[in-house]
Amino acid sequence: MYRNVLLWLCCMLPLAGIGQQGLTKPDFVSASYYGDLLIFSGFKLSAGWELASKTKTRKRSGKAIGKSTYLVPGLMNFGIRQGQKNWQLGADLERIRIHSKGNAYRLLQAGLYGNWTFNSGPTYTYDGTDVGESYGTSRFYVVPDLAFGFGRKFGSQKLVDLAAKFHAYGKMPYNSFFALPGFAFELRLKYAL
Amino acid sequence: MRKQFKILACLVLGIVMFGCNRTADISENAQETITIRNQGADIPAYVYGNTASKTFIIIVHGGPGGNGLEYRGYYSKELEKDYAVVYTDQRGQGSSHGHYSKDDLTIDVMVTDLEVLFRALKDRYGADASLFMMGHSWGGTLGSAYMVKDDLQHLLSGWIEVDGAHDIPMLNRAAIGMYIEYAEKEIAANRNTDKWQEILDFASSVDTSKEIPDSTGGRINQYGHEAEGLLDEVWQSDSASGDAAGIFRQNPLTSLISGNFTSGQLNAEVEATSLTDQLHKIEIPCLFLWGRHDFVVPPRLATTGYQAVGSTDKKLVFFEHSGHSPMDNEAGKYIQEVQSFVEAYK
Repeated sequence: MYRNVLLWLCCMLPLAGIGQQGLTKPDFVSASYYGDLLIFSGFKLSAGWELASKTKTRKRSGKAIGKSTYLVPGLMNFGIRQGQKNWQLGADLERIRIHSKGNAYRLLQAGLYGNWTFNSGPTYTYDGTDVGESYGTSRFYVVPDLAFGFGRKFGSQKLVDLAAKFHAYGKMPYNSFFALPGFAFELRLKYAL
Repeated sequence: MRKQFKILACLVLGIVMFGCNRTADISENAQETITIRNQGADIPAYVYGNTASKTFIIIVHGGPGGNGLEYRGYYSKELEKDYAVVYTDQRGQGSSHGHYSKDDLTIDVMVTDLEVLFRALKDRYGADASLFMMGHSWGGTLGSAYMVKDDLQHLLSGWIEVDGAHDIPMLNRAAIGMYIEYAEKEIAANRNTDKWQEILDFASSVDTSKEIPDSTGGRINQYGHEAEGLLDEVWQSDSASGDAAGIFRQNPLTSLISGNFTSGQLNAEVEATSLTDQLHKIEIPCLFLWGRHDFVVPPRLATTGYQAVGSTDKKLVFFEHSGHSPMDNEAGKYIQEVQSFVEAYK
């Protein structure tokens, strides 16, 4: 039962987020490399809606610090070459901290995703009499994800930016009774709309 | 919005469905993965080599906590030229995954995993395919449990037991005796005296007349690997071992984490496993391959296993310059023995 609830949560979170914004145009869209640079790799597509924003000015230096929070639904595909493939759907809450005059920023992110791990090749079952063969067989896992990163805006209008993010996640419950921890690197190219 | 979601879902499904090869790779140089789904677990098996031969050697890896592809080395690549070699992961190890309770992480359930694998291979490559199970170390424990269960052995054409542990209490007692024998000899010869004295002190402290606790069993295993490395008689692997390409089919970090959890969960059951008095049920051809200087699974288990099986077609081969892994220490002789056995009974 709880798995179904989590499944729906992971699927509906991005859509609900978009719906809450009244189907407005997102504030940015992005495409990322997602992987560990060695064993598994893939991509992530996402769009972000700004939920809150505020600017603080430091009294002594007069510098302004901008903090923005975004809802970022995302779709990911990654896997091991010739191995299992993963599709992941969910959303992140992303907090960006940036100098008002500067181009560089840093970010913190927390997300919840539904993960479908697809088996390689055919999957076989045996019911005591017959062997069954099926393709595209998958299992569903819940993946909480935390990330931090750094980015920099480019261009005179600062519409494009590039960010490097470092993820720590847990795939759960993986193999019956434990969450499988993992790490990933994301290189994101973002375009402000 | 709904229409866009449907298009996206169809696109995803299409990529997944049509990205799979639906026909078996029947060739002299096959390379494919199949997955077994049984009692909540999805377990990959990697098929390499000559599937056109219709002869399959299924390697049941050691551990618990190992993985199938770590067994792909020089010896198995040579065997792949003549036969197909299947490197299967096991429940909770390697790249296997799934949803099941702790109650489903037992030797008995893992035996049914093997049964489904063997039936799947016959379904995919033909009912006339000859299957040989080759279990190493813990894979020999699991293989022994498979062989004595019901009538399952008759799915196979032969069983190759490589330094396999069919009786852990016997193993622990035999290892202690071996440590003392070798340590006294090596200390007298003034070779690696400090380490051998440590091993001798440990072995002398274990009371083999009583049940040996799980924690001591773990130390016996640990010293087994160390002791083997101290002996000049054991040849180091002179052939390229391991499979660099295998890293692109399996995540080693995932395998390590899964394996450690699973090994800990299975430990108590494994330490109590004793199948010697059931080996008489085994009727199919058997080949026992053993390193003479194996402290991890001592040669005593080779002789008791060989004597206990009910098969009349059986052979025991000792490798005089090997420890726990004769496939690496004496690969050439190992390949020859496997080939002659498979050719005789395929």
